[in-house]
Amino acid sequence: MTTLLRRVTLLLALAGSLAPIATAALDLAPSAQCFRLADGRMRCVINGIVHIDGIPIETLSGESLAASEPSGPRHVPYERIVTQPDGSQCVTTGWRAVTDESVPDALYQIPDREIGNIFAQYEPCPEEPGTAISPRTIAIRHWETIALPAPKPHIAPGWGITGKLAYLETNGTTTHTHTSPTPLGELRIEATGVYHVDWGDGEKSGPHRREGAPWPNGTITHDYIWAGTYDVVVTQQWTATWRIGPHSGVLHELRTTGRIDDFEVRQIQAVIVAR
Amino acid sequence: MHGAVRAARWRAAMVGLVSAVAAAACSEGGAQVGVPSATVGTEPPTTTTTHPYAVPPVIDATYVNRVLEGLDKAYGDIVRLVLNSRGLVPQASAQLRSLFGTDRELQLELDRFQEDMRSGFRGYRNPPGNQRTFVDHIVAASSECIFARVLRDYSAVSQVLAVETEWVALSRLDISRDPTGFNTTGWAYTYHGFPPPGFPDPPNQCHV
Repeated sequence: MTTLLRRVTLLLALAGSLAPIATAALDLAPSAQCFRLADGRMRCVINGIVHIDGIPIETLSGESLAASEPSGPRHVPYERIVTQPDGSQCVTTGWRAVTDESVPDALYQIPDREIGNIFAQYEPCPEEPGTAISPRTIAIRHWETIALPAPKPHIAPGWGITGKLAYLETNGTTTHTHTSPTPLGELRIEATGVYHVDWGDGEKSGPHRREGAPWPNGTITHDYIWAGTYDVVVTQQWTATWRIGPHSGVLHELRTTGRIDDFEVRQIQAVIVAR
Repeated sequence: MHGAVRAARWRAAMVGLVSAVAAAACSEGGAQVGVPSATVGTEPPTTTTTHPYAVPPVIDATYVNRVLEGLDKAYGDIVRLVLNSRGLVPQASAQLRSLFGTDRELQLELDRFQEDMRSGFRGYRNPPGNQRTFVDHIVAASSECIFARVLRDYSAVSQVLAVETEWVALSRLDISRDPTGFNTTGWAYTYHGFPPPGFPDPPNQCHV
């Protein structure tokens, strides 16, 4: 019933926010408030609906607009810092509409940031008082115990040559699905991993969204300038969404690592041999 | 075109504003400072320390501008903290809470910074300076609440924004929102921004 009421409220709010501007003679100003972002976009809250440049994105309370516009754009979860009644901040799941096809199924505070786990700085928002353990909590607990795939890096043929591209094979997987039964129904976690490579010579690359493959098709490559031995570290940064029945959300980042220690890079010199 | 009109309006307003501020300053100076004369007598000199944000009997544009300047500097410090740390660190959240007097206004700011973070802080100057806010028209003012239309210059903060006409409402700072004393002005925003295009001006927030 509560959900139905929320959806009706959302529909009414959305309808109100999209009403012709000319009808604004109604005193809507207290609930219509805008400001500019540094990049020039205009962010407005109109009757509880957040708009970016006139496009409804999400509710001010972070709820998805998907219920009110089922044929509308895709809605993806994201980590959202909110204020609690006691003034402290915590992290909850917000939902927002995205039209860009390239946006993944979960948005993070700083996409592709090497260290971007806001759960390291903010606690997850507490459960509502009087409720049993939440689907979100169940998902988080499972997420932290899943054995995620780790990369097993290799650079053929086992050593490199200065001036020749080294092709890193990651020997992992960029997606991982986990399902398990829970008291609230089946939990499904869909994780996506991107690779970051520390080549050991001071150079780093990433994020790489595709598996590293051998020559000639591999896309994770590096050109070593100096001969020597290097420790190559491949870190896979995992992000994930979860779903239990009608409940879903985004999970904090996890990492797995693989490495090649003492990777030897040789130098080849042409010599003229007198005959 | 729209930007040009705004720029012209800004220039005109600034000319008027500077004149008004100068006039106000002269007026205040005349009322408070006498012509120097020979000092006679042996009473020890007394000094009075005036808090720059102490609420005057009559709240005028000069005072409101002073408060807004203090808030702009504090807000600028938060912007720099967020950009330097590349994230909305808890210290920044706590400081924002001292500048924004309601949880709704605070959440709008938290969301603004999170929006910036998702865009990779696109549009910010590096390093960013302070936004500068000047009173354009005081709608209401009392010792407890100020509501004013302002001109806010973002040019030191943003690569694309210049001057915006906005409205701000200020209420006395609830010190429980500022345990570290970050906000020294004694005022906090209870409204900031502007209405969407086509919407009427926001109602007097001091009467809401």
